[in-house]
Amino acid sequence: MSDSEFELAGDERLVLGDLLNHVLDKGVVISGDVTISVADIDLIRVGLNLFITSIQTELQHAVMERPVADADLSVLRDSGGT
Amino acid sequence: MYGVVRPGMATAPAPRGLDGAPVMLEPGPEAVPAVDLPAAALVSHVDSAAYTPAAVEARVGDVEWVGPRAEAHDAVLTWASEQDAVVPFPMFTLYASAESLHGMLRERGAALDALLRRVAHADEWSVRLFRLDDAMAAALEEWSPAMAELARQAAAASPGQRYLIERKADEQRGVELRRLSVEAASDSFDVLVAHADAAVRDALPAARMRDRQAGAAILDAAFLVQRDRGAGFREAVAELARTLEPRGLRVALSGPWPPYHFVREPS
Repeated sequence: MSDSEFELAGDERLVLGDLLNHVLDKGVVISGDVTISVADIDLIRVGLNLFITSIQTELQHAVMERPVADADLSVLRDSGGT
Repeated sequence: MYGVVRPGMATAPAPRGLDGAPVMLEPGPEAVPAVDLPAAALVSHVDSAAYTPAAVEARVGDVEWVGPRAEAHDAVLTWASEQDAVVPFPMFTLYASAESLHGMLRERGAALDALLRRVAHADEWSVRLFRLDDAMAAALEEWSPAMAELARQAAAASPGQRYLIERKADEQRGVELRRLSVEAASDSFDVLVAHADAAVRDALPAARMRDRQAGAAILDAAFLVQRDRGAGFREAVAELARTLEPRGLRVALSGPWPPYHFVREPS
């Protein structure tokens, strides 16, 4: 992928990477009776899996990619963050 | 379509869906009981020309295009999971007609019903562990008896022997880092499994993607946790963080998510 596709701010990329990881290749995959399903899309060929993978390596800095309602995990947010 | 829910869910308060389109239930309330199906789908109508397989494949690598669509898809499912059980479908699951969608709901009704029961009152949580090699190496002697023994021997040795022992320690360090991180990943997963109703480990990013600064992922796991066990699960994650972070491992939690990882039908 070209660098121009990585212009999002760091935190946004991490959130997006985690999000794509959930919504693109998880869930019930139906094939046969749909017009399109993700099973029909070659995610590796379009490079999106590579994008997701590269983001996952950066998640050290993504303390919490998705807000957690309770405050009792502040230990995760505060310890060793950047 | 976004996912499958019980028939009759009121979709008026739902967030806007793909391309800002309203989210509807299919079959809708007016169809009941004329269409007697065990499950209903959360759907939006989209421009079929914009979402042909070729059009989607051409743009799905474009983060600017796919990002807002992914957010909209997840927002609808997250909202639905806050109302009642939801079986997520992946983005870009498109049907050409309500009839073909009804056919799927009818054909798969029993399996979808079982999945709805499985994920009811539960959330998905993602837990990742990262190995921070420099921090881990600094803490290694406290964690690894073998490395502590080498350090003890080196301290007691003559200068000539010390050199040899330190060389041996250098060789052992990488082996011990790998062994202990694999062990920590497995142990952590096992600990959290006890607090969850179901769990899966995802494949880790390829080794070539690893970055010493960012840390290599050593565990990427998803857990299905009943809501009344959520506090206990999060406390178990926090406890892992307290134990592992002084050893140079980083723990990252995200959630709650709709149960994306826990709705694959048995094959």
